[in-house]
This record gives sequence, C-alpha cells and structure tokens, in this order.
Amino acid sequence: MFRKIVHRKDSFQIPATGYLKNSGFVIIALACFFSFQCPKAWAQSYKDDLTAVRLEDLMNMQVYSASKKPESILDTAAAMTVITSEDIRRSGATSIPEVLRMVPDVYVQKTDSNSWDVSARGFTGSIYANKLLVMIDGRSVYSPLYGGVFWDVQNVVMEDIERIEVIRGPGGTLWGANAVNGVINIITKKAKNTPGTLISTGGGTEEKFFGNVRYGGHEEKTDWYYRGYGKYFSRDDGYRVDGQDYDDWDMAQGGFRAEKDKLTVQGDIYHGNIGQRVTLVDFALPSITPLNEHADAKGWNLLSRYEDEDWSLQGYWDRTERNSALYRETRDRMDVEYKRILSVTARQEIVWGMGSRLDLEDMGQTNEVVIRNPGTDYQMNFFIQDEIKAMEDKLKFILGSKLEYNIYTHFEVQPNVRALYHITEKNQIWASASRAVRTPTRIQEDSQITGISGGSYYRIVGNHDLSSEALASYELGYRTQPNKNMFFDLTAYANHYDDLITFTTGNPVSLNGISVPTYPTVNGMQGQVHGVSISGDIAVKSWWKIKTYYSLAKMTLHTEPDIVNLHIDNQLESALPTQTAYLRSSFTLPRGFELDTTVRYTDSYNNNAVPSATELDIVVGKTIMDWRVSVVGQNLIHDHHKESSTALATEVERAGYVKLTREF
Amino acid sequence: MKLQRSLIIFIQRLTIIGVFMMCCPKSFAEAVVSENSLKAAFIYHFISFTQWNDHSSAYYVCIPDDSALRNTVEESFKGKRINDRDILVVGRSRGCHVLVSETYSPTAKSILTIGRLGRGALFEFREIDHKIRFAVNLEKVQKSQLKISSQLLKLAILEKDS
Repeated sequence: MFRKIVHRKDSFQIPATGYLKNSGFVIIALACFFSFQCPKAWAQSYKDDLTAVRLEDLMNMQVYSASKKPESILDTAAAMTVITSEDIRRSGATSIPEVLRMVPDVYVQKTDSNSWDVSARGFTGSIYANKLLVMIDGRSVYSPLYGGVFWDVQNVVMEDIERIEVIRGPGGTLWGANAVNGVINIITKKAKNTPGTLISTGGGTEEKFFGNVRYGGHEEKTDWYYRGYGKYFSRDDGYRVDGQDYDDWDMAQGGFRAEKDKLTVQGDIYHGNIGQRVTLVDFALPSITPLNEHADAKGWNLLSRYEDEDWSLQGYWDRTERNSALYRETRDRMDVEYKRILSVTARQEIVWGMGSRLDLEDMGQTNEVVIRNPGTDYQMNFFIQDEIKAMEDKLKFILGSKLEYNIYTHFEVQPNVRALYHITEKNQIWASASRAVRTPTRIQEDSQITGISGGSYYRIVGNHDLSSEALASYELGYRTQPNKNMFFDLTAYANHYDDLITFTTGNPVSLNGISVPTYPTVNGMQGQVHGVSISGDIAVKSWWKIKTYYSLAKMTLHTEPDIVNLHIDNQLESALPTQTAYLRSSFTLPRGFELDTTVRYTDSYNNNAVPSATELDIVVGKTIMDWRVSVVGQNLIHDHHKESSTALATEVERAGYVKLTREF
Repeated sequence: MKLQRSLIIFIQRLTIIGVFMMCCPKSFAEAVVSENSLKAAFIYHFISFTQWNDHSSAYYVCIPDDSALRNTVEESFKGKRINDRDILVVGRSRGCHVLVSETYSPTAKSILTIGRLGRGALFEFREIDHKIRFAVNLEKVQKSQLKISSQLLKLAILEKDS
C-alpha cells in the first residue's frame, strides 16, 4: 500500500514460471468428460414431480436453487452482481478480496500475502486502484489517505456474511463519495439469523492456523437478538525468488451485533501484525536500508442504525491505527447518514438523504513520509433520486443527483440518469449515463515522500490545487433467463475520464547539498476505458451448477501536452489485463458431499512483467458426524505465480488447508 | 513442501472418487431436488392433510402469476386428485383453498395461507441446512375453520404470535 508509493519507480523482473506437469487441468478434463459420458437413464432419473414422495422423506431432501436471483438484481438499472453466503462458503476463500475474484470486471491483484489491490473497470494495481467504494454494513472502509482499502484489516467472519453486492460502474447517487468505478457492499447476517454456536478451525500451508467462534442468542425479556464472535488467523509469507520472507501476518478480531425491532447496534475490535519490508532512506548518503518489520494495525468501530419503513438513520465511529517504521496513521472517523423514501404516487418514489463525515487524523512524520497539515478532513453530502414507473411498471426511469462538499475541491455535483425496461418477465434491458468524481487523497494533496531509485534521491510532493478526477460513464446492459435453469448478464460500458491525477516534474530541491528531482501531483491525464463482460449462471442438472464470466477491457490514456510526460499513462494502460475469465463448477451430492472446482484466467499485464496465468481452486466438502469438513486447494496449477510486479511484491503460492466447522 | 504435495495428491484422489461416485447409482441423483418441486410436493401434502368446511368439487390453489413457484406447482399437480377432488392452480386471490404469497396473506379463516408468519400467514417455508422445513402459527390454525391433521403438525416448527 503505502510502501508501493515509495517504490513505484523501481522495476523488478522475475522470469515466468512454468506449468506444473501434474496439473489440475487433467482432473477437470476428467470431471467434465465423465459427467457428459454418464448413462442417459441416470440423468433422467431426476423428476420434477415429488408429490408421491412421503412427507417425512421430503424433509430429508436437499434443495438446490436454480440460478436464484434476488429481486433486487432483476430490478436494478446497473451492472450488479450478488455473491451469496453459499458462493462464499463453497469458494473456500478466507478473505474478502479472494471472494471478489468471482465478479466480472473486478480485478483482484494480490501484491503480497497481506495486501490486495482491488479495482473495477480498469485503474488496476498499486496506488491507482483508488476508484472503488467499499462498505461493510454501511460503514465506508475507503481510506481517504491513499484512496484504496486496507484489505488486511477488513476481516469479517466469512460465515457471518449474508451477501456481497457489487455494483460495477458509478454507484449512482445513493452511494457515498468516491463510488466512481464501483461499489462493494458487504452485508452481514442479522443476529436473528445466527442463533446458536458456530466453531470453525483449521490450517494448512498458507493458512497456518485459523479459528472462529460465534455465539448468538435471544434475550426473551427485552427481545434483543444478539451475537458475539472472536476470530484469529495466522498466514504464511509469499514466495520470493531472492528467498526473502517478510509478509507473514496474523490478526485477532472480535465483535458483536445486536438487534431489537428496528434498531441495530454492532461493533468490532481487532489487532494484527502485518509483515512487510520497508526501505529506509539514508539522508547523509544516497543509500537505503531495507528493514523487515511487522506493522502494528489495530482499530475498533461501533455502528448504530435505526431502520423504519420509510426512513433510516445511521451513525458510526471508526478508529483505525497503523504503525510502521515508514509511517504512522491514526484516524477517527465519525459518520452520520439519514435517508428517507417518499412514495409520491403508486408509480413514483423519491429517495433523498444527507450525510456528514468527519475524519480526525494524526499522522506521525518520518524521514521518508511527511504529511503536511494533518488534522481534520470533512465532507457533507446531499442526494435526491426520483424513480418513475410507466407502461404497467415495465419501464423504470431513475433520475438523481448528489451534491457533495469536501475540503479539497469544495462542491461537486454528480448526476445520473438510468432506465430499465422489462421486455418480458425474463428479459430486461437497461442503460445509464452518469457523472462521478473522485476527490484527491490526502497523499495527492499533502504528502512529501522521499525515496531512492537507481542510487539517487527523488521526491513525490502533493499539490494543493488539484481538482477531482471526473468520470462520464455510459452503460448498457441486458439480462435474460431463457429458462428456469439459466441466467445471463451482458454489460458494456464506455468510461471517459478527465482530470486524472498523475505526476509531472517539478523544481528540484536541495537535500544536504544534493539536488533532488521532485514529482508533484497534477491533474494531467485523460482517456477512455471501454469494456464488455458476459456472465452466466447455469444449473446443468439439479446437482450441478456452473457460474462463469468473461471480461474484456481496453484502456487508452493521454497525458496533457502542457506537462512533462512521465509515461504514467502507458504504465496504467499496460496494468489492465485485457481479458479475464472465470468458471466455477459446483456439484451438490447426496449425504452432504460437495465438490467445487474453479478455474480463473487472467491475461498478462504490466508489459508482460506479470505473465498470463490460469489458476485452479478445488474445494471438497463433506459432513462427518456433525462436523463439516472442507479440504481446500488454492492456486493449484503453479508452485507460485505473480500478480504484481512492484519491487516488494511477493508471489502467490500453491496452498492447501483443511477446515472443520460445526454449528449447534 | 512435502505436506503441500501430499495434500494435493489427497485432493486429486478425492476429486477422482467424487467424479466416479456421480456416475454411478441412481439413488444419488434423486436426493438433491429443486426447491420449487419440493415446495410443490409439500403443498400437495398440506392439502391432503387438511379438511375444509366446504363442498366444492375442486381445490383452488392460488399462486400469483409472477411467483417462481407457479409453473412448478402447475406441472406437479397436473391430472392429480385428492379426496376425489381436482386441484386447480389459479392466479387470483379470491375463493382460494390455499394461497401462496410472500407478501399478502388475507385474514379469511377458511384459507390455508402459505407465506410469512410475520405477515399473517398460517404456514411458512424455511430453508434450513439445504432442506425445506415448514413453520406453522398454531394459534391462528386453531382459530381458523380448517381442520389440519396432527400428523402434519407434528412435523412442523410450531410458533405462536409474538
């Protein structure tokens, strides 16, 4: 994260790794072959009519849902993907970024064992993955410091996640600030739905050890539903060709959620040791001292929300703290939001709301990283959206705008217009045009970062005259359910960016008598990203489901002619993999036996510094004496593969772990 | 590394066993069914375990047209009879013996309503651990004009008005 900024100018090449001979592909091929070769009679033995079956036997049958889509998806005039708790459980993923790999147009690049760059529709990798809004139960975890998300401290108990809603593209008017290229909304289960005790534990090669305990109950007298949890995990470091080990980490976290009628109160507290390598700069000589350290990351948050039928009020306090030899940050965020829905007529609904956020910052200064004028960061927003239905509710128009005030660029207007048409009950088409902005980050405005590259100093400096980056986005989508076992979603977008923040050359400064070149931030790039993606959910058989997608994207950027071109435009263009593809096959077999096989493909990027790669995950699950036993194999094809080419990145290794879960 | 390798071999073997298992006995495929087919079968049994205080020649099962369950129930009930009465699946919400709706449960005492207990329905389907269970509001059932067999009720999750 931060350390990437300091080293973004370095380059580090590692030769492409070869394919493993005994690859999992053979197995998939076998699986597919046998599935199609099974006798016809067997395939037909499954019948739709179960009325002749005894009631007692019906109660023991396992169900599958043929491409079950929440109503919300089919009625959304935006590119929306919903990840269900079932998807999460069956993916074998142990962290949220890993789960997001199953969403089209979303790019997940694991930089080392504890950091991920997640972006949507371009602007992948490193400090440029800064146009995505991520919320956990309505709490924004977007960092105004660098514009990304510190994924290492977003550790929700995976079993507690009800669903993850991902909107690719501008989030419309309702979402918070910086929802430029996408919104990720992580929603945890209500305490009412998590009664009893859950324990899960296990370990393996990369997941060295993990344990989760959760208990939920109901207080009869006061009618409070509640749950509390604790979790701990310890993960191994990634692979480096030079044999360095520094990115192992561990995290302990606890929290609660309680509900009474329309009131929800929830909170978390965590503390982790994040392994990393930093390079300290010597100011007497142009030399660097590498240091392997564990950054201390801790925090807590407390949120309360009251939800009535037509209004809601939410407030939270979020404390985050990170201490490293390179920089220190303590942040207290207070946020209040009010939302109201007005049904004007049966066909027209107005939603409006307002919110206010205050960030109190305390930044420790180091030689390498200086943040000028830390203190308070304040923003306010107001939004209104009008939804009109016409033609017997077949056509829906949404018109809205957000007005935002922030301390850097002051007022910002973000309007959008959307339309959704139900051609038939099973076919919808939608289109949108919207404007969204990303306000400059604290680093882009106020930082002074000094590093050494090729034996000489350089310095990145913030700029107080920055404007927001602006996006004009045009989207078109089509969704269809040709029959009850299939669902397809096709989306195309054309995004036009202006005032993108980049670096240029500034006046040199003198450091101990040495002239040091500076690179100030500047609004100096513009360009386009065009892309298309298709995704499908197919229930081939009652017990066999397939989820798949294919995404294609192309980015073209230009640096304004009046500034010195440092070729960041080319760097960003090459950082976007042109094609990504995903296929997951899920077998649900009798006696609680499940088999999930996922194949992922990503084109090469960063000018081939990260070669194209196919990876394979296999999850086998079975219930044995009240225990759910899962054996998970991740990234099985290669011994290790690269997902980032920054100097301090480590490679993702093949991993396996066993997990035991019990609920009672 | 050794552990890693043996784990991978283990996973590979499990996968192969899994693949072979799927190609074999018929009984395997039958135990996993579609949610809607299962619900349809449950509704069929609900009818057979219930006595209405009327003399109609058919049972009217009302399911709104936009419900995903509608087609499956129609297919499952096609040509079937219970107690010598036809079963007709219709989209209306009046004159029903059974009404299936997540949103609307009228208070008429002669309708077996399936929906949300919290919204006044008598029966509610619940998916627990990938299996379908049903909950019943016992007080409402007792106040209604329906006679529901204890054989059915003993399999239900019994709930009271909160």
